[in-house]
Amino acid sequence: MSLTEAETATAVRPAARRPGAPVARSRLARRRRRAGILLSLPAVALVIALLGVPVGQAVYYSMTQWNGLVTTWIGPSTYVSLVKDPIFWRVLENNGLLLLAVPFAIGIPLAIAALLHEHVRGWRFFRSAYFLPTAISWVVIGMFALRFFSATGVLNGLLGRVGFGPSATDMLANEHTALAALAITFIWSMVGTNTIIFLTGMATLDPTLTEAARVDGLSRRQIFFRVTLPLLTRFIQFSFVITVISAFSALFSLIFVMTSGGPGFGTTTLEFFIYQAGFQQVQLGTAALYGVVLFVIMAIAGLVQLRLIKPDDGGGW
Amino acid sequence: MARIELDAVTKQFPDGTKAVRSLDLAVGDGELLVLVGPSGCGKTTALRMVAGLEDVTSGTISIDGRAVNDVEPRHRDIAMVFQSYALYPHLSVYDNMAFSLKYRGGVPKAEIRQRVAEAARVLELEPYLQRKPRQLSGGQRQRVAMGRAIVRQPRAFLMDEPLSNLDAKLRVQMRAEIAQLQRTLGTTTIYVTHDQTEAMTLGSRVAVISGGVLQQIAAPQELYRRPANLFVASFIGSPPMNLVDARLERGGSETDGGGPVVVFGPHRIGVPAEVVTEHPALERYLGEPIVAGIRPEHLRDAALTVDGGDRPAQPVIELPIKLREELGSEVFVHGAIGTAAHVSDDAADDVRSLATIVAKMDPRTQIAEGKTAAIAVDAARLQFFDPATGASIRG
Amino acid sequence: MATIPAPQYQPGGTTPRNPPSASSRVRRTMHRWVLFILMVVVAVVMLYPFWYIIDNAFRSAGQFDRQSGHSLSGWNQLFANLPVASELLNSTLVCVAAIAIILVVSTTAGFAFAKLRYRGSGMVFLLVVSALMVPLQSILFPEFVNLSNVSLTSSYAGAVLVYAALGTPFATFLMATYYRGISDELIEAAVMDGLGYERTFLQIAIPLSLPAIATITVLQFIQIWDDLLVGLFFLPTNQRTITAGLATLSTGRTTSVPALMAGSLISAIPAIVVYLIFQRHLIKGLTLGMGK
Repeated sequence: MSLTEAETATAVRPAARRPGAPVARSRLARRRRRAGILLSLPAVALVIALLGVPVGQAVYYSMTQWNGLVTTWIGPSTYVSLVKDPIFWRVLENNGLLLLAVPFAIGIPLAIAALLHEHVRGWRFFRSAYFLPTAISWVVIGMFALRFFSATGVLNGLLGRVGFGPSATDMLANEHTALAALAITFIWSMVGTNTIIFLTGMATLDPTLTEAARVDGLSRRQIFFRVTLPLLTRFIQFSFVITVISAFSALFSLIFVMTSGGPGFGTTTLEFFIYQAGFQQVQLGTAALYGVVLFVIMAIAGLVQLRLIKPDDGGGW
Repeated sequence: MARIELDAVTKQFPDGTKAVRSLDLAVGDGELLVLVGPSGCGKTTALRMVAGLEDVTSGTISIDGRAVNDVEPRHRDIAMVFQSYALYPHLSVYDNMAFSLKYRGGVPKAEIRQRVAEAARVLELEPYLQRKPRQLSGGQRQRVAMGRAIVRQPRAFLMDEPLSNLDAKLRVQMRAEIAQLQRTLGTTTIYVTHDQTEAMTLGSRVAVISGGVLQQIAAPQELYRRPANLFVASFIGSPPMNLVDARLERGGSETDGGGPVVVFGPHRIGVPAEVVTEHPALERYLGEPIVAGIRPEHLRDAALTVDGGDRPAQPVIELPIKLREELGSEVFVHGAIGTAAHVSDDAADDVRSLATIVAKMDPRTQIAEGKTAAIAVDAARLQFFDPATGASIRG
Repeated sequence: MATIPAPQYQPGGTTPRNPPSASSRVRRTMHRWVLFILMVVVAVVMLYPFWYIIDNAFRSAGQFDRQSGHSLSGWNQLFANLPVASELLNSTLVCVAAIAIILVVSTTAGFAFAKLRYRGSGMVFLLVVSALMVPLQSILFPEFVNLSNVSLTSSYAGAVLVYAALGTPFATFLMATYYRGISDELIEAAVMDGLGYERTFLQIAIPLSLPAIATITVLQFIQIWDDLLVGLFFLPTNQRTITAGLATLSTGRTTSVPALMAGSLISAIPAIVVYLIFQRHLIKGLTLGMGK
């Protein structure tokens, strides 16, 4: 190469490396990075501003006495008093009891999905029908459930027809039966979502696996429990997450419409109590306190699910 | 051991497609019968009907003389090896093999362990017993699938293209192992494949199926030498038999020795006397169009001297050579015959009537592309087919 | 394979050799009928509430008690007690606005996290998605205070922002998953052709992701339309959504049941219509989250 050409070469590539300087990142990579940050900024900003910041604030307020205007700092002792408060445990107990509904909210849809999976004529129509309730607001569901379980409601009407007339009660008047009524309503609403999840799961399974089991001599029931179910583990875990999250959050509307937390504290769950404490009693510090507890529980639940989903279920994907 | 019989078995799907049409098959006790045919010909459907995974539209399937049409798969005492192996991903190799024995009932634990161990030993799976399927190679998974079938000690094995997902080398090796295994166990087996080489090497008898219809069922040699119709003729044998549209003419006495002559394009090939004797029906086709077939291996370079030279002269045709393929141990030459080759009705769209025939040559041949070569035809191996029905013209 | 000494296999040794008779086909048909009946039973259980609501929406209070007869008096009462039309409008406005924000924010971020990875983007992605777990009740009051301090609670804006923030994590997750499915080479080809990454996003990624966008729209529409708490809290009374309005109506003890049923019906219909039309997308959206 002649001298002139070498000079030209350098002139054309002004960004060439100089000895001692670090390797220049390619321009493309830098543009990419810039675009990436730019494009993800709105989402991050929105989430931090409206979801992240309030969490921090809630933590702060949880250690205060606050009525919306005046904030009195108390300190971490609020948590200590919380643990000593019987109402807290009552509220948690309600949440815990309602969680008992989760296995049913998963098991029943599993059975229904297995039913639909047989593809008996018209199954698509039934699938649409079962999924329809997911479009309905919990408020509307609650409206119906209220009338269903009440003293003059449909349930008692049915029982009367079958012969249980004398035992007709207002399920919502008694603490335990009110929780049961809520649980039943909750399960009913989750059927649609979970059925779809499991049905989709079953559809993704390799059909030759069940065929092999059929030829190998297993009965239908054995095939379901020994082949289908183990292969659906990932879907069951997913549905478990969704169901538990719903059990904690979506029940608010149901309680609001059906029982207002009553009778007494009978159906006051964590999320409803927060509303009560803040809205009705204007004890916002308490509300924040319970709010933080709720958040921690959800976070723990979320992390636990994450670890459950990671370890292998035998693979096959 | 079991006899399996298919009697006029037909399968029609709800959308109207007839996958299997009036299939008649009998598999003898301890026999390995291969069902072979192109994709979609109905062979897998037929197999699944024997397994009970598909309903029989009409006809009867019998095992050991008893009709099993309405018997559920689990009661037929048949083991099936699937193309995809169908191994349970969440179970170990051991559990996969022990699976049916455990849940079917009737087999004590100790015996399960013994049977699985024995099968694992035979299939060389012992080091992998605790692994999960996804940790195994394709060949190993295939053997687990076989192991699962073996431990059941069933009346019959059904195998649905078990080697299709393996690479070529492994396939050849496993082929031999399956053949040996079947011979040792003596279990009646129906084996489905689309690969005609596999069919020819494995089966004691081979059933060729196309479009849901049985084309021919015979021992491999018989299929090769005496194909019953055009489909079998072109399906069996690699490279496939050359087929040309020709006319059968009365021979004049000068060159052709008086017998009938196959005429296509500018070429004339005299039909030897022994062939005429074997195929008396050829009489009827004198002066008529026919389809003539000759396998590439029955054409040779006329210029090369044959060892032990005392052979009666074979008819020779002159062909311009379009292509020469070197395979090392053999050479294939493609020669233009100057007229249309026979194109079957269900040939692929991209089959052009380029009208060449393929000849398999000794590697010493000097035949070159672009030149015209003299090709000797072993006319005793000529095959004839009716152009309308495709059936072989026999006596 | 090891050389095989002939093992002592006894084929056919283990099956109980008494298969069922040829009535197996009849049994199977009966089996199908049983399944069908079961499906009908489940359908009745799932759909009965709708029937109840529709049936009783067209009664008067007296007719409701007697459970017979039909009239429109329930509707009259409903419209008398609730500004139905304007609340429907409010619901629509809030939905549209919130969904618009969600779509803009989640498509851009989803694309960035899927294709424009930068240092730390994995963590940021995790941060955004994990915000899914933040329960509204936990942040309710601080949020309210914040928003009212910037006067966003006297109009739609506050509620819209909250809905947008609540919907963004899942939407971003969905979009990122979807974009991951687009081959990297497609993006690179566009870049080679001279488009900047931003233009690539607009002109290539967005058109390709219309199905996912439709899915998010449907999912969020139903969620926002049916939501109670945000509407109750962050909207001024005269700009309430229909769901919030219905709920407050129901807690007042003076409204008759038919009126409430009518209200339920009206508030449920739009969501049902959207569901019926876009079922496929709903189902896809739900199951997409499981795929990867």
